[in-house]
This record gives sequence, C-alpha cells and structure tokens, in this order.
Amino acid sequence: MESIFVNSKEVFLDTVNAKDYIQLDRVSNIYQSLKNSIKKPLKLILLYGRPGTGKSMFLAKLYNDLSASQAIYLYKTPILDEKEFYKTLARDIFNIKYSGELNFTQMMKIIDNANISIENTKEVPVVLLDEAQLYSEALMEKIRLLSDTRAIKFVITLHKTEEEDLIAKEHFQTRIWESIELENASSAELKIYIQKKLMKANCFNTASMFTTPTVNKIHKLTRGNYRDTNKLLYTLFDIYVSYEKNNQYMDINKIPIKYIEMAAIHTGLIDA
Amino acid sequence: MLNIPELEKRWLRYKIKSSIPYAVISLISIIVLIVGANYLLNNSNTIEKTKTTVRVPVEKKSHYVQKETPKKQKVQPRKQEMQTTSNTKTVLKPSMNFLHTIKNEVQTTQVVTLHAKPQTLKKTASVAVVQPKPVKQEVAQTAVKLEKEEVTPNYISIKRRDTKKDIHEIIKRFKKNHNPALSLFVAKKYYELGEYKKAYNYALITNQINQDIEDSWIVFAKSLVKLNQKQKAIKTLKKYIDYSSSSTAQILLNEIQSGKFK
Ligand SMILES: Nc1ncnc2c1ncn2[C@@H]1O[C@H](COP(=O)(O)OP(=O)(O)OP(=O)(O)O)[C@@H](O)[C@H]1O
Ligand SMILES: [Mg+2]
Repeated sequence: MESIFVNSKEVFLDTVNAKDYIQLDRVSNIYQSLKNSIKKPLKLILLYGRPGTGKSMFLAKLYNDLSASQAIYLYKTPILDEKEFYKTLARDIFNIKYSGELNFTQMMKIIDNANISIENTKEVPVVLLDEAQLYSEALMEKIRLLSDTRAIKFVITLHKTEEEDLIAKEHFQTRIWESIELENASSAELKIYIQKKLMKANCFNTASMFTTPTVNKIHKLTRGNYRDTNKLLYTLFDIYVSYEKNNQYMDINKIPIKYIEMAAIHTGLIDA
Repeated sequence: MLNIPELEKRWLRYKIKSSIPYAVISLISIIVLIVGANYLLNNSNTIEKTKTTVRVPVEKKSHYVQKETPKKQKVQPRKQEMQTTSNTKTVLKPSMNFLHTIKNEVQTTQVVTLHAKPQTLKKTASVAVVQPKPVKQEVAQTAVKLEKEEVTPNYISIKRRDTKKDIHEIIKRFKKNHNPALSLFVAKKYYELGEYKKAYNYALITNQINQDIEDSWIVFAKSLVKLNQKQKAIKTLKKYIDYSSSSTAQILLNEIQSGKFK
C-alpha cells in the first residue's frame, strides 16, 4: 500500500496545472470579474501580484475554461524578439504563416484586414501573456498599440517584488483599463486551500490533520503565499515519510509544531 | 532524501536560540515585579515606622524604583492596543514574535506596526539598528498605494535595469519556481551577450523541463553552432523537427547546413 504521506507529499509539488485549480471565495470572485472583463470591450487587462500568488495558475485556468468557446492563446514563455512575437500572433490568431520577417507596420496591416471579418463574426481573440515583466519596454508599448486596435485583447501578468513595486506602479499610470491584484491567502483561505488540495487527491486523513491552530502556524511562516505553503507542506510530508520509514510512532490527529518548524527550517522560511 | 537527524539538530538549536530573548525578558519582568512589590511593601512600612530609623534604605530604594516607573508608563497605552490584560508577561510576549518577523522579513504593514512597538522595551543595540527598517517600508508602501490611484498619462514604460543584473535576478527566481519561461529568458540573454556555453546550459535546462518550447530548441541549436558543434546542432534540430514539424526549426536547419548561419 502506498503511504498516505507519500501521496500527500506529491499534492504539494509546485506545478501549474488547470486541473489542480482550487476554488477559494476570493479567488473565484476575482476569476469571475476577470472573465467578465474579457467580455467587456476592454483592451488590456493586467493581473499582478507577488511571486507565488497564483498568477500563472489563473491564466492556465482561464485558458482551460475558455478555449472551447472562444479564440484564446496562452504564451507562458515570453516571446522576446519583437518580430518573432508578431509572427507568432499572425500564425496563431490569423492563421498567416510568414517565413520572412514581420514588422510592426505589417502586423498592423494584417490586423486591419482581419478586423472587418472579426467584428461581425465572433468575439475578439484573447491573448494571455505570462511573465510580462520580461518583455522589453518597446515591445510592451507595441502590445498596447496592438490592443488599441481592439482586434486583439491582451491579459498580461506582471510579477511584482518589493523592489519592483515601482515598475508595477508605472504600469498603473497607463491606459490599462482593468488591473487585478492577486494576493496571499488569509489564514482561513489557506486552510481551505490545503484541505481541498488534499481531498482532491483523496487524502482525507491528512486533510483533517490541518486544524485551525496548525494552519495559523503555517500562515505565520508562509504569510499565506501559495508557493511557500506548497514547499513547506511538501517538506512536512517528507518528514513524515522519513519518520514512517523508521517506524517511529506518529500521532495522526495532530501535527506537532516541531515538524512544521523543521520543515520551515529546511525550506528556509525559518533562518536557523 | 531529508537528513532528519541533522534537521532535528538544527531545530533544537533554533529552539534554544529563540528562547533566549524570552528567558531574558521573563527574567527582567520578574525583577521588575519583585522590585515593585518590595517598593510597595516598604512604602507601607515607612508610614508606620519612625522617620529616623529607616530613612536611609528607603531613600535608596525609592530612587531605584523611580528609574523604573517611566518605563511602566510607556507600556501602558500599548497594552490597550494589543488588548491584553495588565499582566506584564503577556505584554512582553509579542516582542518574541517580533524577533522572528525580522528574520523572516515579514512586511505586512499591520504586523509590523503591532510588533514594532514592544521594541522600546528592549535595550539592546541590535534592536535599535533594525527598528527604522519596517517604518521605512511602511511609508514606502503607503506612498505607492497613494500614487496608484492617480491615473495619468497614457504610455507604458518599464524601467529596465542593466542586463547582467537582470539575468542574476531571474536566475534567482528560476531556482525558486523552475519556470521554463525564466530559464529560456536567461538562455536568450546569454546568447545575446555571446556567452554561448551558458546559453546552451540554460536552453538545455529549459528543454528538460518542457520539451515543447520551440524557442528553446532554437537557442540550443544556435549555441551549439557557436560552440563549434555544428554536427550536434544539426542532429538535435533534426530530432526536434521530426517530433514537432516546426517550420522555424526547419529554416534554421537549412541555414546551418548551407553555412548561412555560423
Ligand atoms: N487557486 C489555486 N489553486 C491551486 N493551486 C494554486 C492556486 N493558486 C496558486 N496555486 C499554487 O501555487 C503555486 C504558485 O502559483 P503560480 O505559479 O501561479 O504563482 P505566480 O503568481 O505565477 O508566481 P510567479 O510570479 O513567480 O510567476 C503553484 O504551484 C500552484 O500550484
Ligand atoms: Mg508565474
């Protein structure tokens, strides 16, 4: 029999996969408003937040949900070369294969020609760009111009660190119509997140180990950051697996603070 | 595999280390309590006793206690803020957490303001050095928030730092989240900078994480050519084209074979 701890550990691997998406009230509300924004005649939608707050997850989910009903394209990897960027868009959205170079003016022409047919047939194609902070200033400006044609709608995610607050701020002073911030989870949300994640993988026993005091302790260490929480819990179950191998007695009902702190030390959340 | 014995040792050390300030603070508060109690007791004694006999010791005592009293008054308003009882021990408890929070560099404004206050109770120099930090952060944060609200001109600008620094920051992030977008970015940047070995390495890492990223295979093959490994580049590209039928890869392959790309 596979150990429940091994299974539980795997739940917290740091991966971005739409099928692992967990619905949390706040997240769902944001998700709904994002979906609505896509329907609105907005051109640029900005999704920003600190590392590990679920931006990539959001895009994956959005792509997954909408791809059946509308034209939507997800670029997880930034296309840094400007001409390459246009070529990719022309190929994916307008089905135009370009073997030579494609510059901005040509791209605008393609859009112009396609625009007429798009307007009266279907919805505007949506382009999801992850890790937008990696795009150059020049390309960012072009993206804005492209979105101004209303022939393509962009949803971009921007990773924000403490030092990068200023960069993010400058984006807000632009004509981005809607900006949505993703934040760390509250303690209550974190509890739902952890338990739902475990239950999704049928780890009911371990899910019930996460009582409110336990989750509060975890929240104190990770500040509710999803990625940090994943890492911490991955290590926590790794510790359980190790102890299990040594046939050490373990209380299934309660997670000792010691284990949590050990995991935090190992993952660097506690500096010791 | 986790090294549990080692981890347990580190945990124990951490526990001991983190209980030191707690012990010191408890000790201080006990002393304060004892002195305070003594003062009260002696005070009531003096009323009953004659002035001449006990005068000297009492004066000494009251002098000592007076030093302590302003400290107590300082504590008072904070107690209320934290909604604790007037028990000195409970008041002092949060400053422990404060030490942790410094370590973890927590900067949630709320937490910072709450924890920053008990600092005044501590006399050590180390705390005094750290103190201005959270305050600054707080100010910076609110400043940013305020500025966010005013929506003004209509152009996008991202402040770019120099590439080298950029790369190192991104490598740091990549080590954290293993996002192939980041490693590919690094590979491309290194390629641009002419550091083909590093470009090759990062493209390789990217391919290992996700073998469907065309760009990464392109950088990989281009770097190989630059590193004088044309044959290996051709072999790799052919394999990739078989798998993906990528036209971009095909174009590059032709260019390499014809010697147009070198
Ligand atoms: N709603 C959610 N449901 C399930 N898992 C989530 C959710 N939000 C975040 N996660 C988990 O948290 C981890 C971090 O999320 P994600 O990679 O999306 O962060 P990010 O904001 O894109 O970070 P970065 O800025 O570093 O790119 C992911 O591994 C994912 O599994
Ligand atoms: Mg991301």
